[in-house]
Amino acid sequence: MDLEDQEILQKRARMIRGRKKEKASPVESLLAVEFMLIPEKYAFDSIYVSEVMMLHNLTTIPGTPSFIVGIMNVRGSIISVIDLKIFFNLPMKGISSFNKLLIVKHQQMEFGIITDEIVGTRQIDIHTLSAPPGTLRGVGADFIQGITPDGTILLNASNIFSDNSLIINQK
Amino acid sequence: MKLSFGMKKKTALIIAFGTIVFLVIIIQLISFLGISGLRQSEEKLNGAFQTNQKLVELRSGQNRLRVLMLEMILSKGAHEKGTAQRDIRQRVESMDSTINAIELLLAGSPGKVEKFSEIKKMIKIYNENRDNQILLINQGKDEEARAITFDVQAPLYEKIRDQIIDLGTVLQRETNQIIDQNASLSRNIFFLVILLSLLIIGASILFMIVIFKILRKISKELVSVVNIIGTSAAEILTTVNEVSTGATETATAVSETTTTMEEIRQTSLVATQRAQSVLESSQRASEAADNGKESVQQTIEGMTRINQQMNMIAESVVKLSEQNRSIGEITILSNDIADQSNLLAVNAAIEAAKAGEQGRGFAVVAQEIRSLAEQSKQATAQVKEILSEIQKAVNLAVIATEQGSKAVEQGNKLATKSGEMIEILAESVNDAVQSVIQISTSGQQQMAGMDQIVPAMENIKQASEQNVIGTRQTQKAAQSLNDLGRDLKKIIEMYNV
Repeated sequence: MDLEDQEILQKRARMIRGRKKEKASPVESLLAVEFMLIPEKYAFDSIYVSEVMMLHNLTTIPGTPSFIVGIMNVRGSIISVIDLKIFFNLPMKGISSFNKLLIVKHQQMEFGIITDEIVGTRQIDIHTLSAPPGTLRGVGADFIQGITPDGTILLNASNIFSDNSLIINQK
Repeated sequence: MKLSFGMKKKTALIIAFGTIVFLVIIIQLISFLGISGLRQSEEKLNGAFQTNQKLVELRSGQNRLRVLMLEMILSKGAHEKGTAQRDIRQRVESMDSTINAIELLLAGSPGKVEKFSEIKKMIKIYNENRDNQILLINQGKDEEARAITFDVQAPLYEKIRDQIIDLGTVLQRETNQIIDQNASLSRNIFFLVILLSLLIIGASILFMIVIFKILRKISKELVSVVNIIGTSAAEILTTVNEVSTGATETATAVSETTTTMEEIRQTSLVATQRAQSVLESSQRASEAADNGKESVQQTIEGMTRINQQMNMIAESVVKLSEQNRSIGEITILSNDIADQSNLLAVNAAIEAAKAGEQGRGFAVVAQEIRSLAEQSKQATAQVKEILSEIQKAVNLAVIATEQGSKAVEQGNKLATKSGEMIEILAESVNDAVQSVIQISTSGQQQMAGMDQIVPAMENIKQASEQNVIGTRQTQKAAQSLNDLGRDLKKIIEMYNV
C-alpha cells in the first residue's frame, strides 16, 4: 500500500513539474474546459468560461430560434441557454436535469451552453492541434479552432461570440 | 337259349334234367321189362330143355329096361337073372325119380301134364306087365314071359315111345316159338332203347348247348363281376391305405396332441403360478397404490408449504427490490453530489486559471477534488452497476418465484391428478386382483380339465392305435380280397368257355 501510494505521489509530482514547464511558454498551451456533446467531446477555452453548473429551472421562451432552449436565472442574472447541437445541426438527445450548463462570457455577452457532461479541465498544446477538414457538415470551419490528437474538438470561442446569428438573436 | 324263353333258367334246367332222367328211367324200365321177359322165356326154355332131356332119359331108361328084360329072358343062369332083376329094380327107381322130375317140370302147362299122365299110366301098365314077366321067369315060365314081351310089351313100348317123342316134339315146337318170341322182343327192345338213347343224346346236346350258353353268360357276368370285385377291392385297398395313412396320421396327431396337451398343461401350470405371482404383485401394487395415495397427499401438503415459502420469498424479493430502489435513489443522489463536486472542481480550476500564479495551488486542490469526484462517481457507477445486477437478479428471482409459484400450482394440480390417477390405479389394481383371482381359479379348473383331458387323450390314442391295427387288418383283408379277385379272374380265364 505504501509503495502504491508512493508511486501515485511520484506521478503527481511529475505531472506538476510538467505543468510548470508548460507554463514557461503560455502562448503555446491553453487551459480548456472539456465537455461532451455525445458522442463527441468538445472543448472551450477556459478564458471564456465563467462557470459550470447543473442545469435547473430552465424557462423556455417563445418566439426564439430553436437553438435557444430557454433562459435561466444564475445567481440573480438572467442568461439565455443555447443548445449547440441544434446550432450545429447535430443529432438531438433531449434535455434533462442531468445535463450540465457551461456558462461562457465574452465582454458583455454571457450565455449558457447545454452539455451532456462536463469532463473537466485540460491543458491543450496548440501545436498538437490539427486543422479541421476542408468540408464540414453543419458547423462551419469558423467555429472550430482545431482537433486534438485524441479527437477533442476545440471550439473557436471568439468566432462563436462574433457570429451574427447569435448576436442578432441576442438583441 | 330260345327254349328257355319266358322261363326261368332254373326251371328250364330242371325240365331238361327231368326229361333226361325220365328218358333214362323209361330206358331202364323197358330194359328191365325186356330182360325180365327174356328171363321168363329163358326159364321156360330151360324147363323145356330139361323136360326134353328127362324125356330122352325116360326113353333111354325105358329102352334099357326093355333090353334088361330081354337079357333076363334070354339068360339061363339064375345068377345072371338075379343080377338083371337087381338092375331092373334100380332102373325102375331112377325111372320113377325121372318121372317125378318131369311131372314137376311140366306143372303149370295142363295139356302136356294130361299127355304125360297118359304116358305115365302106360309106363305103369308096362311096369306091371314086367313085374308079371319077372314073376313068371322066377317061376320058370320063360316062355310065357317071352310071349308077354312080344305080344303085350312090344306094342306098349312102341306106343310109349311114340307118345314120348310126340311130347318131345310139342316141347320142341314150344321152345322154337319162345326163341322166336325172344328174338322179336329183344329186337324191339333194342330199337326202342336205341331210339330213346338217340332222344337222350339229342336232349343232352340241346341241354348242353343251353347250359353252355348259360355258362357263357354266367362266365361273362362272372368275369365282369370279378372285374368289378377286383376294381372294388383295389379301390377298397386304396381307400383302406388312405384310411390307414389317415389312421396313422391320426395316431401321430393324437400323439402330438397329447404332447401338446402336456405342454399346454405345463403352460397352464406356469400360467397358474404366474397368476399367483401376479396376484401377489397386484396385492403389492395395491399396497403401493395406498402408499402412493399417502405420498401424493404428503406431496400436496409439501407443495402447499413450498407455495407458502415461495410467497414469503416473493415478499422478501419485493422488499429487496424496494430497498434496492432506495439504494439506487441514494446512489443517484451521490452521483449528483459527485457531479456537483466535479463541477465545483472545474469551476475552481477555471477560477484558479484566472487567478494566474496565485491560483496555482488552488488549481492543485481543484484537481484533487475533481479526482475525488471522479472516484466517487466511479464508485457510484459501480454501485449502480451492482445495483443493476442486483435488480436483474431480483427480477430473475421475481420471475423465478412466479414460475416457482406457477410450478407449485401445477405441481399441486398434478399431484391432485396423480392422487386421482392413483385412486383409479388402485381401483384398477383391485379389479386386476379380482381378475387374477378368477384367472387363478380358472387356471386351476383348467388344470383339472387338463388332467381329465390327458386320460381322454390317452383313450383316444389307444382307440386310434386300435383303429390303426384294425385298418391294417382291413388292409390285409382288402389285399386278400384283391388277390382273391385276381385268382378268380385267373380261374375264370382258365375255364373260359
